[in-house]
Amino acid sequence: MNHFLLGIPGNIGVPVISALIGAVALWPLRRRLGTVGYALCMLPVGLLAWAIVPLLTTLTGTVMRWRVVLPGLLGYTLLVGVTGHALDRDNAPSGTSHVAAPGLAAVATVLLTAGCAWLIYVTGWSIYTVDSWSNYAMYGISIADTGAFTASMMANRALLLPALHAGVAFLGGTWTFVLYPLFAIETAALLGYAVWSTAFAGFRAWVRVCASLLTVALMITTAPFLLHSVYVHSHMVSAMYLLLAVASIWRAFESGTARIAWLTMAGIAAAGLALARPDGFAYAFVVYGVFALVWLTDESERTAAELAAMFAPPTAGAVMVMGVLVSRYGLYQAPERLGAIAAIAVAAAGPSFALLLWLLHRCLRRTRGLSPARLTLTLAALSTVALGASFLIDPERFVQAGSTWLLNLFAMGGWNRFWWFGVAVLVAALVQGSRITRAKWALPVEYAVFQFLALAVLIHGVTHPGRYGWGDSLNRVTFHVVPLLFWLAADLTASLFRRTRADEPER
Amino acid sequence: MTATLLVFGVIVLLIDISHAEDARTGNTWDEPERWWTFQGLESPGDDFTAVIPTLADVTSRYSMHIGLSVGMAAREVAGGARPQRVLYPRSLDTMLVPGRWNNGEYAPALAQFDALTGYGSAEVDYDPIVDTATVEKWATEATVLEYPWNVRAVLGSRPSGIVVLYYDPTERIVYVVPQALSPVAAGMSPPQEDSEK
Repeated sequence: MNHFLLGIPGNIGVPVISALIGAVALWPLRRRLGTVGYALCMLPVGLLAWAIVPLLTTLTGTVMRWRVVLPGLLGYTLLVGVTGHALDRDNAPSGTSHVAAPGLAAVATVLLTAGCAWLIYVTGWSIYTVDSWSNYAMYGISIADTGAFTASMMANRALLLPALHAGVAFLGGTWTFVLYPLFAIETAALLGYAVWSTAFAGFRAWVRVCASLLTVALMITTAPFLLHSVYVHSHMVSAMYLLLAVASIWRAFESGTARIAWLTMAGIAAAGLALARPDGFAYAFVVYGVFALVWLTDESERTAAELAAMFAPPTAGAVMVMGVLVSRYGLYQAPERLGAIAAIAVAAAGPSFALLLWLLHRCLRRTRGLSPARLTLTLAALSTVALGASFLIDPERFVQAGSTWLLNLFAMGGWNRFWWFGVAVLVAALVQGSRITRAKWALPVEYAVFQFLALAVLIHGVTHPGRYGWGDSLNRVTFHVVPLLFWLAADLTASLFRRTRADEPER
Repeated sequence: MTATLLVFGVIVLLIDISHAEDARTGNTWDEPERWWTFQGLESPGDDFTAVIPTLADVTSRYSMHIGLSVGMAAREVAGGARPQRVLYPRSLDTMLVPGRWNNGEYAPALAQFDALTGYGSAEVDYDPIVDTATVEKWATEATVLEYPWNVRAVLGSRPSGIVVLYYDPTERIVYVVPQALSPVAAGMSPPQEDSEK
C-alpha cells in the first residue's frame, strides 16, 4: 500500500489514470466517435481497466504492486486500442471536426477530470451506509493488501467497484469517494449530449443548448440524483453505464460509418453495467434488448461484426471474471446470492442471445427489417411472461415486493415527488402513440425503461420481499433508469415542439 | 394530453427542488436502527479513520466500529500499511469500550480489524491488561495517537510489522502497540510470519 503516484492522492489518481487510459485506448477510434463522443467515452472506458488488476493478482497469487498493476492497466489499454484499430482500420471521421480536435479533447478531458476530482477531493463529501464501509471500502483495502479478489466479494458486490476502491487504496487513500460525484458528472454530460443530439437534433442551436441544459438541470436537482451523486454505492455508476450503452446504440445506428465503433462502446458499457453490481449480468440484458430492437428493425444491412462488437466486451468480461474465480475457488456457492453456476448461466445467456439474434437475422434477412412496434410488443410480451413465471414461484413474496416498491416510490423511498413526474412521462410516452410524429428513438428508450423495471421487479420479486424506506434494494436500483426517463421526457417535448411548430427545424 | 402530463411532471420536479438536498425528506418511515441509516452528508475526506466517528449510531454495530478503529490504529503503527501480524488475547471480551448512549460496553470485533490488516491477526496467550505506569511510559517514550471509540495507537521510532493489543481497564481504552514497546514481548511467541507472496 501507499504506492503514491507523484504524491497525488489515490482519490484523484484513479480517475485521472482512468481518463488517460480511456484517451489512449480509444485513440484509434477517435475520429469515428467524433470529438464529443470520444471525450465522453474516455472515463467510463478507462475505469474498467482497474477491473483487470484484481483478476491478475488473484490469478498469480501476488499482492498489488506496480509490477502487476502497470501490466494490468497497460494490457487493458492495448486490448481496447488494438481491437478498436482492427475494427476500424481507416478510422475515417464521422463528423466535420478539425483533425487536431480529438487530441485537444483528450487533453481537455483529462485536465477537466483532474480539476473536478480535485474540487470534489477538497470538499471531502460523501454519504455512506454499512454497505459502503463494510463492503466496498473494506474489500478495496483488502484487495490492495492481499491481492485476493474472493468469491464472496463477487457474490456480494461484483468486481468493478471493489477494484476501483482497491486502486484508490493502492495509491494511498483509505476512503474512496471522489469517483462517485465524477460518475454523476459523467452521467449528466451524457444526458446533455443525448438530448442535444437526439431529441432536439435539427432544432436551432440555442434551442438545443437550452433544452439540454434544462433537462440536465432538472435531473441534477432531484433528491435521488443528489443522493446517489455522493452515496458510496453501485447506483450512479450503473445509471451511467446504462445511459452510455443506450446512447451508444443510438449513435451506432445514426452515424452510418461509425456503427462498429459505437457498438463497441455500447458493448464496453454493457460490460461496465454487468460488472458494477452482482445482479449486473441480468441488467445487461436491457442493453441487449435495446440492441435487438434497433438491429432487427434497422433497414440497412446487418453484419456479424456488429453482433461481435456489441456482445464481445461483456462476454469477455464475464469469461475473465468467472474464469479466474472458478479456477481459484472452484464452483463456489453463495447463499441468497449468485453462486458460480448461476452467474455462469446468466453470463452465458448473453452470447446465447447473440446467437439467437443471428439466427433470427438469417430467417428474416429478406424482410430487411421488422416492424419496431411489433418487435417491441414481442419483447414486452416475453418480459410479461417472465414476470408471470416469477410471480408463480412465490406469489406472496412477489406481491409484497411489488407493493413495498410502489409505496417506496411514492411515499417512503426518499424520492419526494419524482415518480409523479416519472409516471407522467411514461404515460405520455404510451398514450401519444400515432398522434405525434414519433422520433425514431422514443421507442427504444421507452423499451429500455420498461424492460429495466420489469427485470428489477423480477429479480427482487423472487429474492426478497423488500423493506420500507429509501434503503430498499429495489427502490435504489430503480434509480438506474432516471437518466433515461429525462431523455424520454426531452424526446416527448421535442416531439411536441415539432408538432406544434413552436420552433421551425433548420433542416 | 402529452403536453399536460409533461407540464405537470416538470412542475412537480420544480416544487421538489426546494428540499432536494435531503433524500430522507420524503421518507416518513423513521428506522434509525436499520442498516441503511446514514447520518447525512459528511466530509471525512479520504481517511477511513475520519469516517469511523461519523458512522450511523446503531447499537448492534458498535463492536464493528471499535474493530475498524483498532484496524486503522494497527495500520498506523505499521507505518500506514498492513502489519504482518496483529496479536490479540484469547478473549477480546476483556477489552470493553463504552457505547455511545446506552451505557453498554462493547469489545472490538475481530472480523473488522482482521480484514483491515490483511487477515494476518493471530490469537496469542498473554495478559492484555496494562497498568497506569506502562501507559505513562508510552506517553513519555512514544507518540500516542487518539482514535475513535477509546482506541489509541502507540507509535514506536520505526514502523512495526508486529502489533499487539493491550487494554487499560481503568480508562477503558484499547492500546495498539508495536511489538518493540510491548510489555510482554519477550515472553510472547507469535505464530510464524508468512513471507509476502
